[in-house]
Amino acid sequence: MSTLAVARKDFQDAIRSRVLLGLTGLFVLFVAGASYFFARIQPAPGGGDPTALVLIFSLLTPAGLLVPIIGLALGYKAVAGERESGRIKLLLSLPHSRLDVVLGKTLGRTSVLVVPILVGFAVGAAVIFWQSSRFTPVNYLVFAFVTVLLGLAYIAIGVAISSATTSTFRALIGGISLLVVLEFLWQQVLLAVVYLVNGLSLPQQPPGDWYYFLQSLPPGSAYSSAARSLLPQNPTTLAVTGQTPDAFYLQDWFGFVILAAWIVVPLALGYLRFEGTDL
Amino acid sequence: MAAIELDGVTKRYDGGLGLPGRSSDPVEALSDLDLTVREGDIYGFLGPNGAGKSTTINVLLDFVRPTAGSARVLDLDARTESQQVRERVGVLPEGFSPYDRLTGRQHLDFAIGSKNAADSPSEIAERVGIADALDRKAGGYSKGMAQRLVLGMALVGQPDLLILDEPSTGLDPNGAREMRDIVRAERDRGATVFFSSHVLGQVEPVCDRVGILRDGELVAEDTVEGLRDAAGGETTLAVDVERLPDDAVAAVRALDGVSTVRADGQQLTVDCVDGAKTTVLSTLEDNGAPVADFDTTGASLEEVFASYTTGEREVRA
Repeated sequence: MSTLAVARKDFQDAIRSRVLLGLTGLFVLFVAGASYFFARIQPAPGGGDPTALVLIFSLLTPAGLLVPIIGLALGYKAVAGERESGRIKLLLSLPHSRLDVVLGKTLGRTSVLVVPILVGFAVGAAVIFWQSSRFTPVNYLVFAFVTVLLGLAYIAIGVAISSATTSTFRALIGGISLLVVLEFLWQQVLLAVVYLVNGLSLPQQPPGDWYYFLQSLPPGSAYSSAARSLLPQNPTTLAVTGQTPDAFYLQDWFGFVILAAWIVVPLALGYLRFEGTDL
Repeated sequence: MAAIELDGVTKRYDGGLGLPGRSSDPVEALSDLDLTVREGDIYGFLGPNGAGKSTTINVLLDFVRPTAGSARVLDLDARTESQQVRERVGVLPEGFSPYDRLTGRQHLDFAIGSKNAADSPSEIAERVGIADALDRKAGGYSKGMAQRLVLGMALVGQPDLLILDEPSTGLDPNGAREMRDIVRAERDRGATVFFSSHVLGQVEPVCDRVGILRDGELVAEDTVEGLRDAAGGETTLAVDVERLPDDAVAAVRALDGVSTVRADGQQLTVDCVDGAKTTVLSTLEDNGAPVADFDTTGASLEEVFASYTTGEREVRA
């Protein structure tokens, strides 16, 4: 109840922000533009009609970059900004616990994120519908749902960092650093760690499952896996040689578990830090 | 049952700001503070800026955690039962800022929703004098209007205790008077009111009891009348003399009814009971210090406050 009151107020406040308007515009432009591009200019290989499925797979990677940025942008000020401005005193003068604040902020910002994603995807759907006769709304909705989950993970990371520091500047720097490491440098970081652990040389034998598991840890990878697990086979992918991995944690559905962990663990850590400090 | 009970509360800040290489000396904001506020009182919590008033309030609301000691509010533990405390307390915090993008009505609705109260935003806005601005965004409010808005939020749900931190900040004299009227009305409804101020004039007209805080310690606590009596019994006598031999100073110091004597060149400042004035003057004449001029001032409550809070006078209570 208390969490919802905080979430509702946060949504009312954030939905009026110009930053959000800008992000919504950006996301709508992005999805609509990409939809048009893939539907019209670069039709599916084989000369068939472009399908929503082709489009969805084409959008996975760019959405996997844009949505984390939007998520962080929504999250990093959530708590630290309130502390900087003194609004946190208004919030906590009312009967809300600090857990209500962290969860309510996360929920409120997620509702805010759902707006650009839904608007963007609705516009994208309209573009596809206009360009193509074969439109499958179910796959499209699945894609939108998984994309919201990815956004939620980055909002949770942003809110967590925001709860753990008193300065929005530090929260911003922390969030950007994490984003860069997780989504851009992760493979290199892993390689470097293996290189160091292996005595400054790369191992000769192929790495074990654990290595692939570590590779799949960033939210962006988990997002792709989770989306793949729910969608039909990508029509443009060539027949996969080799077999699907045995380990359950390397299967696509495990992406949902990883995404869930990216939501719960940062929030728990951020909350514990926030709970233990003076305002 | 006491509305507020502080027992040996000490709050020390490390001063390190959590950053390496930037540590400074620890600051003790509150030192072993005991404080009791009776139910139904209007309690004025006086002290200069930096005395620890806001820290005390922050402890009551669990915004900061005491280094030692314990605090109870409405017979609930301020630390472990904070949410229940805040269900029954209305707060006007210090150093807040409203949500710029939300209207006054949305602020009040948020407070009403958070407290499961049945108040009407329009009625509250009327009471605190922002009815005209109720549907405007709070970002455009003046400091005084924001103060009124948050006072309105504090009144939501008929709280058992109002905690107001420097409530007259940003208010013009008329606004400050309206604020005092609201404070009295809330007390008459049955609420306890605890409010802090660094301005005696805000506290004096409404308070049943006054506590004076200095450097994190309570240096005086009494009713307004009690403080006034303590002040009224004393007179400060400033005497210009032609010469001031040490014997004369010693003789004055030895008189009954004289509490302090300060000598500065050819001027002597004497705090004494009113009836001792003429004896002081004649004693000076008799001990080789001819009086050229003198002036008496009866200490006002204002001066008592000033002397308590600037440390020129030892506590005599």
